[in-house]
Amino acid sequence: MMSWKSLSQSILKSHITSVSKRSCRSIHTVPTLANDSLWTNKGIPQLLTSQGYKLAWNDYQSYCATQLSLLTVGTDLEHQTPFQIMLTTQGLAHQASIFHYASQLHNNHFFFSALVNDPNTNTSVPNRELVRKIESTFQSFEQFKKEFLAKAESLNGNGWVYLIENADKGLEIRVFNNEGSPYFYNRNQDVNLSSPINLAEYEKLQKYQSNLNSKVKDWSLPLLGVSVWDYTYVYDYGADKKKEYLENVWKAINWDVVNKRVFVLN
Amino acid sequence: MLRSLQIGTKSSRSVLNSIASQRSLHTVPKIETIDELKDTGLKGLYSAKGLESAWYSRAQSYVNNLNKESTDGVAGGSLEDIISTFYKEPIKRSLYENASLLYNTKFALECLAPINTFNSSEEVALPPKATVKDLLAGPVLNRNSAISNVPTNNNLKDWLVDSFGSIVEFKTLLLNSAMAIKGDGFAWLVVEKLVRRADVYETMFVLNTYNCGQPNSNASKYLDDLKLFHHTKEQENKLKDPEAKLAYEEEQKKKNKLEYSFQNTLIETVDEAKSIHHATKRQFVPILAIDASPKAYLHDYGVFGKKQYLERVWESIDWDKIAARLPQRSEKLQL
Repeated sequence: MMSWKSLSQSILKSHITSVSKRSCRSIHTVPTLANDSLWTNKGIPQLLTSQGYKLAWNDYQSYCATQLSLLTVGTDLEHQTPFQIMLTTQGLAHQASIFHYASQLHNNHFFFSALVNDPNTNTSVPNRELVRKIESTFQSFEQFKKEFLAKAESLNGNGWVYLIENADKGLEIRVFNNEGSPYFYNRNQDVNLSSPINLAEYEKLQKYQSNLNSKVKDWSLPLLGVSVWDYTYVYDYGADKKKEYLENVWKAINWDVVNKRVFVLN
Repeated sequence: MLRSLQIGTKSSRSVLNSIASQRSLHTVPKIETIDELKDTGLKGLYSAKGLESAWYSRAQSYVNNLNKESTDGVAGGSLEDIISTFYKEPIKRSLYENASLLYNTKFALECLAPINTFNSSEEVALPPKATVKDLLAGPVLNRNSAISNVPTNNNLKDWLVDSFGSIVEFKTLLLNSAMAIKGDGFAWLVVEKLVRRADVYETMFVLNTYNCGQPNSNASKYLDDLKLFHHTKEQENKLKDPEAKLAYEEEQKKKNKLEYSFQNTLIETVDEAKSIHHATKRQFVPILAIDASPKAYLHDYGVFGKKQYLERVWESIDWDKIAARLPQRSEKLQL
């Protein structure tokens, strides 16, 4: 019979080996999407051509993954996943470049994993709970769609549009510049300082600063994210057809995935 | 003479505006040197489709947005006029953003010419598309071979060497600055203009602007004013409450004590640096711009090809045009 000591040691050992196995993970790679082979061959019907899909997913994801590996190898970040790296570096200005690639990897994956394989046969709908929430916040589902797409269209430059569930489980549409991230207010990057900002936006920035200093936490979680990055749509649509692209994205949203992200009290 | 000429063009422009405000105000600006290459592409840099993506479709989207905003005729006039009027108007933000982007994109494209214009029979093909492996390649050290397409104008060359050490160093700084931009943006070569009794042009700099940013400091002055307004408002609110007033006065006393300490000589934030920069009354005169947005290279170079694209941009810079933009260089004061 195994003594308690040897048992605990062997458990500890197996635990250590599994940890060290995991900590070998220093090279980031492109995850395989459920519909990858279909989209690689045919593109996403009515949304992206196969070449456009290759640029937006395979190439861009592999670009960010490789850059992230190069920047983190040999550091204490090397055994973390892109999501963990994003959370670790989100408050650190001197690691902005690392944060950029980690956040982009997550955002892009989050976006592509909520698309249906073929928008022509998209039968998914938001569930009752989500519709109720949307209607109570935006009056109607149509109004929500209009607002979401208008905000995406008016984004100047690259970025992301998110539907957020905040700490009070209320819904918000937020627009992030560049690699902005929904998990931390200081990284929302929702104020574009290269264009004339108003006093309210300036005060928002001040508030972010004081929140950061007093270590206020952010409990927001994303439900739906849409890419407004050049890598996603410029090849297939051209810069002047952003609106068309956004309309097509809307038809391709897999609401079954989004439904699962909504908070439910059990 | 020059003054009267400017006034002349201004008044004729405003007449034009009143006519133009009847219908669509803005159209895609004409760039003679580029427009004649619309069907063939910019040899060595862009295919015809690549040029369409980097300029025409993009300019069209900015123009559409400008026209959407200027239905009331408020946005007549040149892009420069719009930029210098609306940089402090958050309500008309979209006008500023699109005018600024259109101006910058046009400026960057106007710096370029087809590679190897003298030997036009020879085709300069686009480089093969880069792959993920190219990211892993180390830097190529090639000390003996000289870089190609260096400026020939002596004035420009000397000024660059005095400001950056050598042409190689300038090229490295310029292309790396463009490389570091991850979303939309431009890397600029600018001449610093010091506003004194007479304008002084002494030093060149490389600087980046992001999204719709402009290389001059008007926008940062606007941010300063906003900051001042915010703090005055905040202080007034504070002084209304007697307890907060006491705490505020304590804080001020502490601050005064620190006045002479070393800490106070540090510039703590980018905001402060910008305020100081603004206080010295400097302006930047743009000389050269490189478009670093993925829109500029995605079609012909792919996701991994930014470095190849930037190398080709360097090869395509029309230095004669750049030299013609230079202001009169001021004599350096000899001490």
